[in-house]
Amino acid sequence: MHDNHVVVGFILFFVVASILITWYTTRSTKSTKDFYVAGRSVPWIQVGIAMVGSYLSAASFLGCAGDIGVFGVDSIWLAIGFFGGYMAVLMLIAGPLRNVGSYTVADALHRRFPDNRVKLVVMLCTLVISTFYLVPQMLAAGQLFKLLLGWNFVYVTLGIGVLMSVYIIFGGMKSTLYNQVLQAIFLWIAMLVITILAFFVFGKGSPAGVAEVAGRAVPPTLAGKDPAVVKAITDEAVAAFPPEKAVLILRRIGVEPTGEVKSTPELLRDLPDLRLLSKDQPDYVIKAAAAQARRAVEMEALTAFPAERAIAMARERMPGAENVMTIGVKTSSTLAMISTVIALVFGTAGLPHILIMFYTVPSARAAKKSVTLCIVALGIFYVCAVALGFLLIPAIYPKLVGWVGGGPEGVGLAKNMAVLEISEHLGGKWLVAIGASGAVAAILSTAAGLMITAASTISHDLYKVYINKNATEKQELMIAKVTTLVMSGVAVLLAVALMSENVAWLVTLAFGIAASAIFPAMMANLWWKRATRQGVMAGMITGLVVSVLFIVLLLTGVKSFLGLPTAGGPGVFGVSASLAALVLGSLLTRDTGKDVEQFFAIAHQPDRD
Amino acid sequence: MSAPDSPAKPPAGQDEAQAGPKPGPEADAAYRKRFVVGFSIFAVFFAYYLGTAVIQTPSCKDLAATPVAGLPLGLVMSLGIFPVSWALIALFFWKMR
Repeated sequence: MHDNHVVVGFILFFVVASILITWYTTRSTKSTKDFYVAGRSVPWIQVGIAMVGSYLSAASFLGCAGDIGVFGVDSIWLAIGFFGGYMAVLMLIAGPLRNVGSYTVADALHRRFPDNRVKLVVMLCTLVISTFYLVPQMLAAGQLFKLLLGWNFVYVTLGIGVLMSVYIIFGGMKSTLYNQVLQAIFLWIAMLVITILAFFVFGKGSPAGVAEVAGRAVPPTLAGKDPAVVKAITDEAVAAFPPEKAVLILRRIGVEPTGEVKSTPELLRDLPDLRLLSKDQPDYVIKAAAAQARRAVEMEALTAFPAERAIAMARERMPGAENVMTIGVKTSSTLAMISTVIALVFGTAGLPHILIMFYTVPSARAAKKSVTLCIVALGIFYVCAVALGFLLIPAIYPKLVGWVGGGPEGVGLAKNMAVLEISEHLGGKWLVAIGASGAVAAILSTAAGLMITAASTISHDLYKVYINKNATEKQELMIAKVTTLVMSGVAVLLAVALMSENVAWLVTLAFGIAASAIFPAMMANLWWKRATRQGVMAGMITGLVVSVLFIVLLLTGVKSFLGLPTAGGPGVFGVSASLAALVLGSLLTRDTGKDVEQFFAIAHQPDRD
Repeated sequence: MSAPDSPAKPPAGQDEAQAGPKPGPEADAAYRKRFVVGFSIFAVFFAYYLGTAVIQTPSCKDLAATPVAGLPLGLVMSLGIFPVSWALIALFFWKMR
């Protein structure tokens, strides 16, 4: 895929569009209100679409379907979990938050509990969540370009950091929203087109037919870990692969076969005797090149191999194995599942980069309308992601098995590249370009939302409150812009430092922190008159500490803590601990906030357009 | 605990109108209605949602595998979350009128 000029063309389109949008919006971004919340006058349709862009990250676009393709039916909850969170946002958060908030998440809490330490704690939570969310986005961008085009990881992440900084610094929230709208429309349509095509080409237009194939197939995560199965499928695929195509692949990576080539297996058998174009290379380099060449030909052979045949071969060799529709291949326990679901539902309602978007619309009713639009669009998107995940089986099963057979790195490749692989089968380089651009759009829109959120909280909740209380609007704006640049730099540095790590799961953990630290406090703030300042702070701090502790345990390989499984992330434990601290703290203290009745009258006032 | 700031006016960036309605019986009624409608509909959604998630775990795999219209029950219920949520949203807006 390294010579895909169409991909480059689409990426250039996004870069040029971003610059034009920024140029157009710069003139209307003069005050802090313009920078943080686009003047609070953005139409709900625009915010609803932008919200889709902000929420759909690379994990949604590539990861959901890829995960189902590799692990089977257990992984559909990744897509459904991501979707479900918005129901809590619509029914419990959007309207009242719009009525009481101003620029940042901390503002909504600070309005009822005017204690600067509340702002400090929320700012800390916002930064932790944004960083956990942002770094995987930058990493995904770098890895995607490296795989697709062979571009340098560092330059790509640096380029994306610069592009986002430019449009946030010069265009603020308005530019970010316009870009997110463009990116959301593109990636949403890309997902729809790829799924519909795949449904009719590989699924023969029959959901029952797709389920039947999935019901026979051994999940690639199991088949790929059985060397005998991988070898059998690969050998047959290589035997059927035209030798002239194999020669072309070898030449592309600098290996020149010698003598007459009769068949691909013969060609690969002789590979250790081949020489690189330069004959002065030491033996170990030649052997490594031979292994790389063999792998390249094998993967291409698997691409061309019929999925039906590979599914049958795997089943013959693993007759008692689970199938793609079997529950339990990936899910470890009921409690872990509940924890994941709670993190995804309540975490969405606590994600700062989503919550601050409600401040950009003119009213609470508009905020609800924008979430509704977002829910409908997300629902369609995630239905497609689930369907596409199952369609990967009749489409690219041999390739999935081959990838998984390559070890942990191969599993990562399978999850992230499966959508692009099926795109290539369906529409060649044009559809790959659309798929890749959709992924880039997802990354850009999410990362931009996170960066402006982090910049806003540092300038508005830290600088203005703790460092320079008398800061002018101009100074605050300048700090927000400098912070954008700093955050961008930090994200690039962290992405480069972690470039060889698989950290995509950090996004799920960010949901766990948001669910534990922000959601209970926000709910109590908006709905519980008896909540106190001390209780809310205790809840936030406890939620943050417990969720981070679980993440540390998870990172260090601890399987359970005090009898609680860590596999499902911090969700259920963080939320429970936070709620307990919040309720206990509130019942033991009396500071229910500045004029709580007035606050509730404002928060829950009748909707108006 | 340090002394709280003085927050007599709405925070910067807040709309003037957000200084908003005064507390009283009307405000209480609006709050109660929103509380009942919002939490009830969300509870229905969450019960269905969590129930479906639990059915999709190994401990309920036999129930989840029951065929419904050619597809396993667990999958049908999981995919049903999308239309169920859309129906609940319609109900939410209807009740909130």
